[in-house]
Order: sequence, then C-alpha cells, then structure tokens
Amino acid sequence: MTVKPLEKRKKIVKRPNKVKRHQSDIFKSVKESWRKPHGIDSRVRRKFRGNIQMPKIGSGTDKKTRHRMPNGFYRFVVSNMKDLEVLMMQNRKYAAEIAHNVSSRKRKELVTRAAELNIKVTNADARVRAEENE
Amino acid sequence: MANFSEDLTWMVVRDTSSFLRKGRFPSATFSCERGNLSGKNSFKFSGLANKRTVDVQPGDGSSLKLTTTAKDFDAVARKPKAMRKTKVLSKSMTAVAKAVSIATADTFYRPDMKRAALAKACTLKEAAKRKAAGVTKGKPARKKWAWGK
Repeated sequence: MTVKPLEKRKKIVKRPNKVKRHQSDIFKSVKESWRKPHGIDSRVRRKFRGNIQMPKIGSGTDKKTRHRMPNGFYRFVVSNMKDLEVLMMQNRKYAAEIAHNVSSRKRKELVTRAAELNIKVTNADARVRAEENE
Repeated sequence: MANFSEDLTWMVVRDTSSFLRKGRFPSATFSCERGNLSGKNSFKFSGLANKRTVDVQPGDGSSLKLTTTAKDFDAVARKPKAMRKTKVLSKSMTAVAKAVSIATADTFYRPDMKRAALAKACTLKEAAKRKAAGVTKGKPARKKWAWGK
C-alpha cells in the first residue's frame, strides 16, 4: 500500500496571481519581483482606484499548508542513499524527490530502497521511463 | 561525541556538521549520524552530542543491529572500538522489542529513546520483509508516448 501523509489539509491560496512590481511592465530595468513603492507621488502607494493592490502581511499562505504539496507531503530533495535514509522515520510527513542530476542507475537503487522503507518518491518514474521507451 | 560536556558539543555541532542534510522549501534540517534514531537534528536525538546513544541499524537479511555507547563513556572517549557495543538481533519482532526495551528503558540507560528505537526497529523489520518478498521492483513504466496518439 502506498504511504499516505499523516495530515492532509486543503490549501487555501488567497492570491493566485503573483503581485508584480509597479511599472515593471513599462521599464525593462524594473524587474517583476515585488518592491514597495516609496515615492511621494506614487499612486500605487497612495492606493488610488484602479491601481495595483499592494500585498500585505496577511497575504501570506497559512503556515500549516505552506510549501506543502497537494498530496499533503513536504518535499525533500534527495541525491544519495544517506539523504533518503534520513527520511526513514519521517515518511508520513516528508516525501523524497530525487535530484535532477542523479543518474538512472542510482535512481533505480533509490526508488527500490524508498519502496522498502515506505517512503514516497515524487519522481519515481523519471528517467527509468525514458530508458525503457528507447 | 567527545570527552567534554554534552551541551558544549551540541552548541558546536548543531549547525555545522557533515551529517546535516538540509531541505530548501520548507527549510528542514535532518541529521544522519550514527546514534540518531529519528533523523531529526535536535539535542535529544543527536548521536554526536549525547554520551549515551542508542541506534538500530539493518543487519544481514532480516536481522537488526542494536548499538549502544558505553555506559562509562568518559573512560573510553578516546577508544572508538570500545565506545560502542553492538548486538545482533536476528529473532522475531517480539524478541527485538524486548531487547530494545532492556537496552533503553528497563536499565534506565536512555528511557526517552525507547519509543523511537522501537519505531525504527519496526520500520527496518518491515523494510527487510518487503525486500525479501520482492515487492519493491518499482512501478511499471508508463506506456510509450508519441505525437499524435
């Protein structure tokens, strides 16, 4: 039987879209990552109608669901056996994700060991699939 | 583990050790040294800072290895060989549970480690069972995917 998370909650996302920085659409040098406008005349800062709404402290995600995958697990990137075995006693809370630069040979070993230890692997059929399709 | 105070060792070792395994999102820190039963990086479970540690490791086949550090630790602090005692437990889970209980709580060695040690022993026993049954071949590969199909 596949392992299930101890606790599964529905994730509530208050703001599905990322807030882009004011004027990042006009100037190339103004990047999209959010910066609070501080200018004396700024209409965004003065909250004029029809402008970008600034994110507030309450815009964050609930701590209990933050970084949690939809299947209820937290992700932990694993690149070798030692990394994987660390999750042995945390298998109801954390799922392993095999790092992108792990070869298919080692991947197989990791996936088998994870199945033995009942640890969920998020990308268990990566690379293996590509190999068998050839 | 060293010959000086446990708390001092912990202060040194808690955020700098080769055994730490860090995750990014969420930022979680695990530790993989010998004597750490849960994999958590905490003083309680640390196999480096505590002078008395208990560990369960997989042995040959379905057997387990139960390792404890010497009771008079300071006397053998510089003798790695005499530091740890390992017992091979090759019998059923009931017998293993008894041995674990004796090693931790019954002898007042590390009563707080009993639960964790039992849990790990169970996990490893189950893992050995799954390995022997050969149920861990992995999922069958998905069907071949091609354009237009």
